[in-house]
Amino acid sequence: MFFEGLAAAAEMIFTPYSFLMLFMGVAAGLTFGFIPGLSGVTVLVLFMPFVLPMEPVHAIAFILGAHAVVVTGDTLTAILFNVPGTSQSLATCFDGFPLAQKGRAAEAISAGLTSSMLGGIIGAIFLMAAIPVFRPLVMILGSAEYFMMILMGITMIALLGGKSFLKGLISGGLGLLCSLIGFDVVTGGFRYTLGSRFLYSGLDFVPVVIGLFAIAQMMVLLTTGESIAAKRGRLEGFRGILTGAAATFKHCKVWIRGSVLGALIGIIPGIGGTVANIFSYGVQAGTARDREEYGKGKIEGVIAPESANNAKEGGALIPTLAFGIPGSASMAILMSILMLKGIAPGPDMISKNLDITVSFVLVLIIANIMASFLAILMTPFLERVTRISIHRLAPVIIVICTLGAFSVNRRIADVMVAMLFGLVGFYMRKYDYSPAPFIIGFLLGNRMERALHISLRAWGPLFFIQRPISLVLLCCIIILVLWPYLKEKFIVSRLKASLAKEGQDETKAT
Amino acid sequence: MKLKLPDWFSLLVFLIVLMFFFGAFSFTTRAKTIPLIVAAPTLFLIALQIVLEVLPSPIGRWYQGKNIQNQLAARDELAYAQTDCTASKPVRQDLVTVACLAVLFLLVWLLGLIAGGLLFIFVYYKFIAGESWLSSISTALIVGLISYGLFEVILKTSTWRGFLF
Repeated sequence: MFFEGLAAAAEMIFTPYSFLMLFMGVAAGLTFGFIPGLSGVTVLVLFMPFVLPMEPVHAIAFILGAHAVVVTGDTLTAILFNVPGTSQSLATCFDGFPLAQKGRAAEAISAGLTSSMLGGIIGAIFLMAAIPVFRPLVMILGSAEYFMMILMGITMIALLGGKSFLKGLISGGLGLLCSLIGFDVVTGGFRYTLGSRFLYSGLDFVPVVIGLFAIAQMMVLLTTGESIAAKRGRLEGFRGILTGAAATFKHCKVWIRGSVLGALIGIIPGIGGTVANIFSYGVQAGTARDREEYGKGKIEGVIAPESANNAKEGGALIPTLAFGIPGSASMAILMSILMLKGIAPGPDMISKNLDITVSFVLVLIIANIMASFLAILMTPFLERVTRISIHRLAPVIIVICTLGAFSVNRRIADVMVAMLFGLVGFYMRKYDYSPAPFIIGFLLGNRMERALHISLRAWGPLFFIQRPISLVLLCCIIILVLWPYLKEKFIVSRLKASLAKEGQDETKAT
Repeated sequence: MKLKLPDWFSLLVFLIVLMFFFGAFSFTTRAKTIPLIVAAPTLFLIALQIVLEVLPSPIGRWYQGKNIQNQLAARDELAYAQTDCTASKPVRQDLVTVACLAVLFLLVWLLGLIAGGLLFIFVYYKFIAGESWLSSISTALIVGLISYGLFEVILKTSTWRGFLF
């Protein structure tokens, strides 16, 4: 039955018109990914009227192709300018931008794109393989585990993301508090709005992230007066691309783990690519032997999150297609397009419309390969951007960022928010408060609160020790918090032991 | 005991979190759960941070020593890539950068997003970066045209027209 479906899907997809639609979708997705503030949702909404008159398979090719590769376009801005085009590439900045600063932009982009492609392919295969076993996997993880996962994510990034763990935790707490501004979905009231109508809907993520990362980073570079790549030398060009691709294949464990994590997280409705990206980075950096090197320009720090955010697309399609439960806003729009085309997501997608389901898998695979090759071809030109004097580049980037901040809700106040957070991010960087835990806390604060209230109602105040997985996660958090001190104790004791041994050897020798 | 700029910044963060903490008491019991759960430990951590950095306690001295060691190690490894290289730059340069941001906002607010942005790029290029007239005007025009084409024509987003228009 599967092979019949595969043959029918291949027959639909491998036609010149379907390929043209797919190519156009991929090009649109890459472009939108490259512009800060424009996300996968924007792509879907913008092109929805355009695809409605098309045949279902052409519409799928265009719209899914565009949506699947937005995160690939994000990779470029995250590495080149420290600007995550959407939140799904947030963790890519942590090591991608330092690599660009070291003059290894081409290598980082190539590694990011190759791992994106591989992650996308694994995610698509996962989509096909996991549909039958989907339900028990989702049932294991409840709100208690989700609450703990967010807490662990913030702790992990605080530990890895900056020079001071204490300041990282403070930054995460501040981010969580800022996320509470506005309408409270749990009680239906308003919090910390200071009587301003603008704050009723809370602070939008895009202006905050644009300010905290892009504007602040440009301000920092302006004060130093350097280009993004502070280290001068020959441009890497295609040599860098090959090095990056080779690095990805060399670290195959990293992208396989990242892809599986991404696909698994993608399955859980409501979590999305951001958590996949951050969690995969956190697991990679947290389990590495040289974890101190992360955040300073480590290629594995690009491969792990990039493979996860593309693999997540395959996973996210599982609840949407198999059960008709969209896991995110973009999946909800995609589902509505399918329904308008007369395809009802649900169990029928496996029994009656298997060819359509398999065509999703094929589109995901081809779109990821196409996007990676397109972006890789552009890499040598993009690499030159990192060598341009910052006094030429920064004003242009800051102006584009203000447009990006405005375009989300079309409010001038969002531009003000972006600039305010630019200022905050500038001083945070100056005084060693890492902005990464702040943004993670800010992004996940509301979901964390919802998860907490559901857990409190379902299992009471001791929910975190009643559920085995959440208890394990709690233990991980405690170990993470104590880690800097445990590590120091361990190093000191080993140092003492080796000194004592050396002393004994010397005594014997004399 | 003299407070340095980073200590003042930590104090400012402390005050902001303190406002969040006391602000939570005006909410209903359910609404204030998370604000209090988050704000209380954050306040404690900032207080700890300030005490460790400012007070001349043995723990504070140990912590400061550890910080200096960390910073020195980081500089040895990646001096050019770290953002803390701004720490040695004069405060005036920081103020100029902050003033540029304020000027951009003022221009955008008064003249609109595209015209304000265009003017900002021209002024920055010509009078701060010291670029030629041709380079300043052409860059400003290109960015303005691309922004207009993308946001106004393709995306049909009517951008902010400015307070004056």
